[in-house]
Amino acid sequence: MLNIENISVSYGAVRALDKVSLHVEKDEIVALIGNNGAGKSTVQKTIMNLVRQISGAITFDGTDISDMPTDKIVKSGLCLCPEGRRIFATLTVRENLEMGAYLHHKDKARFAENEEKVYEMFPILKERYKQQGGTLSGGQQQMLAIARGLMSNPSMMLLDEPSLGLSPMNVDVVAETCVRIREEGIPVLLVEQNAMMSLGICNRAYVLENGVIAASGTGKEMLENEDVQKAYLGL
Amino acid sequence: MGLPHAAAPFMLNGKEVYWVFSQQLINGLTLGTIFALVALGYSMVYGVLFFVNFAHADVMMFGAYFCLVFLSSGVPVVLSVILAMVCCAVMGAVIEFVAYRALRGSSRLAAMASALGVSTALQIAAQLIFGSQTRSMRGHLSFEVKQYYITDNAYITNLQMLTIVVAVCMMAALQFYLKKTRSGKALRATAQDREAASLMGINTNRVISQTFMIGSALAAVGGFLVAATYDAVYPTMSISVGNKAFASAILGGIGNIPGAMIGGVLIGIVESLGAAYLSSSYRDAIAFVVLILVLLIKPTGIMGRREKK
Repeated sequence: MLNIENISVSYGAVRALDKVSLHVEKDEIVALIGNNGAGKSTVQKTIMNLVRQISGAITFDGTDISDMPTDKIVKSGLCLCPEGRRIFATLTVRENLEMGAYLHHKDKARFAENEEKVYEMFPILKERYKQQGGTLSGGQQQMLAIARGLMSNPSMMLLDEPSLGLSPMNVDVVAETCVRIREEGIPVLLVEQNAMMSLGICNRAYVLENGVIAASGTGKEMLENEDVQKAYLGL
Repeated sequence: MGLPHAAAPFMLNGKEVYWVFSQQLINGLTLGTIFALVALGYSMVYGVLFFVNFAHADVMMFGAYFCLVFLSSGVPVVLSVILAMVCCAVMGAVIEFVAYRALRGSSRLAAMASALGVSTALQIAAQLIFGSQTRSMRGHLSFEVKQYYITDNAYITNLQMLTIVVAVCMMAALQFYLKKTRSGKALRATAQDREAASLMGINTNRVISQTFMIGSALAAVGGFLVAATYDAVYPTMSISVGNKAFASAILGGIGNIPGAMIGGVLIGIVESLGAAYLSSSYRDAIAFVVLILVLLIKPTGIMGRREKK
């Protein structure tokens, strides 16, 4: 569904990604793990054209999206929940959800249906729908960020470090949510520093080191890979 | 009705003090609502782009000229103001597109330098097109300015009432737009986090255009009201009103919309009272003294929050 071929990205003189290729298919959770600064977030930002690649091609559902403006890429069905949650702090919880559904404002029925669904996934959001986003706790803000993404009716979700800074209990909630999203028929490209969690739930995984794909395979293979164990699982 | 009505700061005793005070309060409030209208444009643009659009006051000045042009060709007052709003909105969008959009990725200083350039260019353009002499606005109005005494010795004119009503309605409409409509919410989202807004599928370039258009349309109304209040339209009218509107935006907390309204009204009242009780030759300085004092105590302005970037 999503195909990335040989993309390279530079920040000034620093090469952030070097000929990275990966793909995400239907009904998959694909994990992208690696250390801080390995270039994981850059991969997702490049997909959304928040960062420009200097070479390579990105296709989604058969269409070349390499040069599309970000809002058009969102329209084509890709949705990124950015690192650090980036919810709209002075907008209420409900207004945040409305912004998620910005492109589908005419379809009131679908909005109601999606709203119902995300409230069912995260009941705390329903309780706090009138509150400003900034007043929520970190875990609740992450739930809001994911819920906001789901409101756009995506055909694929990109999650950037959703477990960052969360309590172990909330990390479990995030993991369950990823699985739930896959069950809804939405594939997920999951960027994570928490390799244990992400390898545990993913179908396939890529390891990114200094802007280069160093290893790839199924989640189970990666969990059993000695190098991965040493570098990322602390075993 | 035969009472004296000139504000006279030297009549500071007994009854006269009261007279000066309530009269100056009315004058200040009127002036303040105009400052607030113009301040909104500064604040909204700053909220979205984090830079000061110095050309904003010149758009206001053009708004006054547009009104004058329409009025003198026989268009009714209300329609003239609406047409001037449309013209200024287009002007604002064009300025953004020509002078600022290409500089979006570079430093804010570059955009500010560009804004100063646009400001100068607009003032010179106005001199070339309309001439540098001061023109009268009231002569073109279909109503005469009358005074209504609300106490024994303080009056309000019909123009002042109109100013306050129009400005308050404009601000209420803006608040409604921002809080209740889809594109208003998108504007707030963009102001808060442009990248995250684009990830919602919001075309942020269009939102920025809209921000300039709304601010400029409000400035057109401000321009008309200033010109009617002082009965004067001239190319450099943008300087003094613009500076005070800018000061209002900072006083209220730049980027904060209710702050801009409060800041405007405060500056207007302080200026009028200061001119009456201290000296009218310090008129233009008083607002800035207050601004400095407030910023010493609260550097982000009255309603401002600390900037995140």
